[in-house]
Amino acid sequence: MTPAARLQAAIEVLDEILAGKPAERALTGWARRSRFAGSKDRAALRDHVFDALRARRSFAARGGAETGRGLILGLCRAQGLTVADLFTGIGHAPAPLAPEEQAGGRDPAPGAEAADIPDWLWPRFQASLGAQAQQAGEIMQSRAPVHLRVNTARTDRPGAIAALAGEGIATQPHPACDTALEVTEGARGIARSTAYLDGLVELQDAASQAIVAALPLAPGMRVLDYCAGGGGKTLALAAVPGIEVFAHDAAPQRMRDLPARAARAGARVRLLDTDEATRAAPFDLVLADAPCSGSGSWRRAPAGKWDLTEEKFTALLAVQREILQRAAALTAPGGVLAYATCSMLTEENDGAVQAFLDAGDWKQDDCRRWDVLSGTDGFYLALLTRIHSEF
Amino acid sequence: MDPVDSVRSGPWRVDCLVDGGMTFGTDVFANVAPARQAELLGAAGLSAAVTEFNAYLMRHDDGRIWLVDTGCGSICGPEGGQLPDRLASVGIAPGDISRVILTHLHADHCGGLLGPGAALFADAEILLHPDEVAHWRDTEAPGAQVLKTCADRLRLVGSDAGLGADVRVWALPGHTPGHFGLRIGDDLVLAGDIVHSEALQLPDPENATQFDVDPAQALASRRAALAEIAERNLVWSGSHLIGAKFARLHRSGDRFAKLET
Ligand SMILES: [Zn+2]
Repeated sequence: MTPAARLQAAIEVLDEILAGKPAERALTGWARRSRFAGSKDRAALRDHVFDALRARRSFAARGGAETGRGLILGLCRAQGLTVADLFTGIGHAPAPLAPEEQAGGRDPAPGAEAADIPDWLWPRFQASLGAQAQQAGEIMQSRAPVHLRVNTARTDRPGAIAALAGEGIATQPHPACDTALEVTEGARGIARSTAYLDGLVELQDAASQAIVAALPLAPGMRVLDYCAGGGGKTLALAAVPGIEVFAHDAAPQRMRDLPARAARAGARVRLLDTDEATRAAPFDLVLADAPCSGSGSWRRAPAGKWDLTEEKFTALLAVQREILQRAAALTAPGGVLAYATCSMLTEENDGAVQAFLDAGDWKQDDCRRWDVLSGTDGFYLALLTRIHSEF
Repeated sequence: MDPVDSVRSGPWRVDCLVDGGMTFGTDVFANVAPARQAELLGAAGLSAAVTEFNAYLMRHDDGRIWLVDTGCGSICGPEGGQLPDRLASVGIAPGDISRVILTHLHADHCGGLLGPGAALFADAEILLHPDEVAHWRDTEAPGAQVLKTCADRLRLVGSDAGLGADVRVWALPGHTPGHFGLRIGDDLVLAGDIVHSEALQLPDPENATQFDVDPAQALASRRAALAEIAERNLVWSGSHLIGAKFARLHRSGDRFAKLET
């Protein structure tokens, strides 16, 4: 396919997504219909589509319309491409620009539009990130770096780097923590690599790994991952020697891949439903990686940014507060409640923790935050322990 | 590290090991007006109700080693948890201890059995009063967790039980239902939590913390214990004494004063 034909395919796929189809389904549907396309075409298409979704607002401004065509026109203008060379109408290329398209489009207004953040969210985003809000928004217009976690139950970081290099995947240590690697070349080969299939490495953002590294874990501890989801952090926990790891999720079906992934990593994890978790309590450490806006990982899942509404956000804040209470009840006296989100928004982080501390006999021992400005996804971690006020 | 206060009674050498300390706010002594607190504290040369968490190492001439209370462990934050270091400083490894006696199940006394360091006294049997078990069993307090994690090595001891080698349980209920001290030989007693601030409570035993489960009973226990110590001229220590850890008491009317030995 020519570069222009890929743009036209992106226009069509984006129209389906704008009409409500999930991005992944739209892309697989296109691939199934387009047998002529090679893997490079599919990869390029995917990049165009996700670039456009991440920068949907600013591309629509530049392209003059929030349509597939408007977004791709905006993308070309944002990337400084010569639109006339691409929108030719020849072969499978997009049709030439109409006069109103020529004249339409403008630079995005500074602030929410240029940062690709919804208007309702912009004040909260600014309140959370301060002077760096604009920059953080702009960083999230680009693709996230690919990070790997070295499974220390199987190998060490130099061993993983060497194994990956042997399969054409170049990596370098990431400073967020000592299990993290950043992929610098060959990221698309990871899923097929022996190193990945044999469990030497897992796909996991560096900050998410740093969260596990920041937990005060010691041999003999019983640890519950209360919102395990797909289990990325559960597996990172299971790689820590000497601790007993349990996984719970309010929607157990989200954990269905976890046993297989644990087996691949040579790790042992016990899945618990809510009743079982109550019976198995108390735990020395409960990690509550709460459902959140995902604002720290909108580079990876840009749909979340545009789907979030003020109502949904308010509902999430309530869920987070409830999870803190429930997880606290499962934490042993003397144990640690670790509250985490993949958000950079204060209300979901310090706000939730402060409300929890105000309501009960807990104190905050430590708090760490990562944001996209430091080369990771945005994450938040607070370590909470009970205050014992009887002597 | 501060020198360790020690005392001998017959075949026992008893060391007071300080796990940590903190300052109680005026709200802790809810039945004492803040101005009165300031007055009493001032008379003792203090500006606030400073307290310490004392545990005791008991070493018998025949080699047996007991521990009375375990400090806070990690439960009280950085204010406590120094007992393991104190033990090391007198050359004792946690595994040397054959018996842990818990005066009661408040966190600053049993916390050392919890948390990541819970294996600390893994070889010791743990003695406590049955009323303490009944009081904490169905709660979420640290004491309940101790009962759970140490279930297989608990030994319940009654109100006047002999523990061997001339050591007896001295029941002092009220602070908690199963709170007790120890009588060691004829002239030494450990009095647990009958006093949380010597500056506030020795001059007026009516002064009490809000921590007492049964305030009237705790007051009766405090009065009776202090009276006996003074009358019999016993050497005593309390779990929250600051300054000299072993002392005698002088009584005049309802007032008591520490006599450093
Ligand atoms: Zn107490």
